[in-house]
Amino acid sequence: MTAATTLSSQPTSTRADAVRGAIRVAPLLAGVAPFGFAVGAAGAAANLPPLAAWSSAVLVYGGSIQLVTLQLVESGAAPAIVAAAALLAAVPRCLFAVALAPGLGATSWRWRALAAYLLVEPVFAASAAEDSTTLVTSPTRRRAFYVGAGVTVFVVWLAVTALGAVIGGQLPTGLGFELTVPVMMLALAAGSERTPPSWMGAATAGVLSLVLIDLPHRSGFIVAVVAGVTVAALIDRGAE
Amino acid sequence: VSAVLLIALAGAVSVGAKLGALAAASRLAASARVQRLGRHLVGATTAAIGVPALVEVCRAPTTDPAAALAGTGIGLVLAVRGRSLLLVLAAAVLIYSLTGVVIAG
Repeated sequence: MTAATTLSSQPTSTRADAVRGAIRVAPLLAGVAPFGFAVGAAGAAANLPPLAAWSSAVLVYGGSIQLVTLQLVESGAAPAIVAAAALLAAVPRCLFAVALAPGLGATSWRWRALAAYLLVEPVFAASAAEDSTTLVTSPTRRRAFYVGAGVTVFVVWLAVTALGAVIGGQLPTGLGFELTVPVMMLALAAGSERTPPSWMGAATAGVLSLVLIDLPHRSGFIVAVVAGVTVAALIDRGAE
Repeated sequence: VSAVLLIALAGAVSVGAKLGALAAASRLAASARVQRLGRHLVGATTAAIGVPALVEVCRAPTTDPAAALAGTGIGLVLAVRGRSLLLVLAAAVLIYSLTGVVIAG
């Protein structure tokens, strides 16, 4: 296919670009749905006021950050620890933002705030794939694609977390749903970068998080994460 | 501090960090090393949450630790092989349930 035919086959309205974003991100929802369901169930099972658990899906949009926040708040962590953990958990998405920003172009702060809010892994994956394959260079059309993908994931996320909150806690034990959160977290740890340095870093963080679990305000969590990243980076540097 | 305020604080920090990154992106270069560091951070953060959560599940009176570890092990093997999260979770839950039935039997 030539560049000309590819360009001519592209939709020309921003609405069509938004629909294309929604369609492109749809296959990734298969991974979002079980995660959201489990996060919703975890929120409902947490020893928190129902309003707090329910509002977390909107206030802390993003699976891993939401899960980390719920667990820290439930365990009585100090505000500084909650904020630091949210910042640490957001760093990978900050890197996604850096990668996507050139294609989205300079725009208003209001739009940037919306883009920042909607930026989660599936949206990044769909937008990055779009950036690498499409010949559309207009930032306006790319932003429409991004919003289409982002709003789709957001709506599905709210739906499945609500479903998890409503029926997740009513499911009988022994079906294995209580295992989904640790398996999800460990699968993300093992699959985030399938290299020995990353695994060593994750193992260090996992072991230290257990050893230091009784430190006040769950500060052991932060120590474990920093130690894990340090170990992985040092092994990386040694390999180089 | 109420739970809702703490959750809102976490959300504000998260969005603020991403917003800052978007705004500063024209001046930052996401080198391969920085991207790798970001993925290490994902691994460390999720492991630091996942390991204590798994131990908590294993300690629960209604859970068989051997079944939980078997399910988690299968899930991890699939994750390392790059399988989708949906498949990882389905396999882990299935093995967990089957192992529990076998042990109980």
